[in-house]
Amino acid sequence: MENTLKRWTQSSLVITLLPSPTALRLQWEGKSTAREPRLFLVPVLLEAFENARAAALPLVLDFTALDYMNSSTLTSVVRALEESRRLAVPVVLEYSLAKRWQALSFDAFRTFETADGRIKVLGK
Amino acid sequence: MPEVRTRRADLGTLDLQIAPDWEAVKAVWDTCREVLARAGLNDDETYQLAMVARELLENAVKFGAFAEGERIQLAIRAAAEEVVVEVKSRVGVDDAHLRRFDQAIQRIRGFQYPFEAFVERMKIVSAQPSSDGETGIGLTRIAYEGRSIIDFYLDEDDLLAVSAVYRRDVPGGVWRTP
Repeated sequence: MENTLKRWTQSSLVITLLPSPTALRLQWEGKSTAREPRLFLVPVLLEAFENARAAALPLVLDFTALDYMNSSTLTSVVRALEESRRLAVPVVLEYSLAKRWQALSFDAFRTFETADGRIKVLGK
Repeated sequence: MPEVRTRRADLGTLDLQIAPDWEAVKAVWDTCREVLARAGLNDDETYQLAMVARELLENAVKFGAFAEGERIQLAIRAAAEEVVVEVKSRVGVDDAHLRRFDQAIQRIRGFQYPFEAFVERMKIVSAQPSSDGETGIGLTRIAYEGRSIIDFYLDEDDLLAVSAVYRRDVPGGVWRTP
């Protein structure tokens, strides 16, 4: 993709950092099935958060094209929300309403939404 | 090539012996979905139950204590009323993991809805330091996303058998959402 800022790949998981006028977008595709996904994901998420903070933009974690993530990946995503708080970067979790597993998983993520909009969960 | 031995794969029945290896666990996804689809389950159900099998297998690999050549056993039985996914693996009977496992299942049963158990676990995990150790998310996910009731026993060979039961004849599975 022409305007891709950076792309990371681990096995069948591809994560791409994309710019947009209103947010940085971290797009997840494929399957996240590593035994210790945090070893791959934490540096990716930290870099994305740092980029968003430097640009004074929110970070969108776009899971709509993700086919599967194991529970260890879920754990990393939950902890990323804490990291967003520490770094004071607003974060939006976007998921697919058409994928039943995503609708269920991210419905639970709604409990992390904040009244000030710092954490948003958006089904598309 | 990951080592997976198929012992039986009849209509709605699957018996696999899987090397306690991460790549071998990854390789069973399609097989699980195919067997479940042949038994008449829809796409959402085959996905959710393949996820259940996968989470149970990942736990078995992470926390098992395997002798040389010993394998994980995966059994799926899809009948008209219910589907049972069972994973057997070696753990020490007095192993601390087994006690924590029992506590985790009792905790899930203590909630009226698995959604509540899942959210509670996510909140606890969010406050914990980063690691990929035991978080309990996988078990609550089986109850919530997998719509299944989890149980376990130690068989005569001291293998830990963990089962997840999904009721086909109850809309939404055995659990209902609040």
